[in-house]
Amino acid sequence: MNAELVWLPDGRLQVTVPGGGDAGAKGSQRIYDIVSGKVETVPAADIDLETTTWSPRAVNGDGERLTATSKGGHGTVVVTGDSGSRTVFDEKGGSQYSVGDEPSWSPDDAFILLTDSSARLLVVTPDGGKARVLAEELGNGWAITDRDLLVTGDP
Amino acid sequence: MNVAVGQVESTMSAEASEVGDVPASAPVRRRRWPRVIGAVTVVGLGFAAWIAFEVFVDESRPVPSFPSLADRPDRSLQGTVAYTDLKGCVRLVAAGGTPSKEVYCLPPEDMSKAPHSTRIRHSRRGPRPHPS
Repeated sequence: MNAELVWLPDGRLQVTVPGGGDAGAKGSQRIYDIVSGKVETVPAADIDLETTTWSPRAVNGDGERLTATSKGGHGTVVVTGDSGSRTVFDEKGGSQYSVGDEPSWSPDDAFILLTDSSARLLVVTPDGGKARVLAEELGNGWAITDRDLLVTGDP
Repeated sequence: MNVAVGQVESTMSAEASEVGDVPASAPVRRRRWPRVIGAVTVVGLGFAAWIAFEVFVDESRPVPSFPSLADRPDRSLQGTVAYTDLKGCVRLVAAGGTPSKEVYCLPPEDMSKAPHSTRIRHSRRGPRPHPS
């Protein structure tokens, strides 16, 4: 299943399912309100395809850039800034093991999120500590907001 | 004619004499080739075995395992992550690990529109359904 997730400024979650291959098809879009649990369906004519994709934060507030590479079952994530580079993730698996090529800084720059070929969403800290699993059986889409919605707005 | 024959015989005799000097070294030269071929074969087989071993080690290397934030939450990690799972449902999880919940499953009509496959490939943002 292919869906794009975007957190809206008001804290609601926009879920867009692209068209299934028909030329010009916009697919469907729904907006989920975490607090109320209500789901709003966006009319096809109002779907703005330019705003359906969330972009990971490759560069943090200090200008440090994340770069992920995978080769021969070896996945790495490197942080590069003015003071040089440091590796924050360095793991080997079977030859098919890899990391997603778009890791992201968290909104507060406190940690880094990345995916791997085992359908996991991983968290690492900028000091290069041991990676931790945040989610498994990950589909194609994910997005992070700085709001603690499940703590303060758990429906 | 006899003289000529004699000269020929003489020449042949001389060549035979020269050839007679060769046998001391010629057999040695012939014996070296099998050794060289054998050495090359052994090195080649060793190299092939090394490659096979490396491939075996690569293929049999386990997927790296990491501790789970669900088991040991870290409250210093702020924020909320939304993601789709492999069943087509949207899940939320606190960045610190818990709580986590399934909040919304895409309706069948959306699922039928979406490109879908059980095969997974790695993509820009992680594993995603492989285009059929």
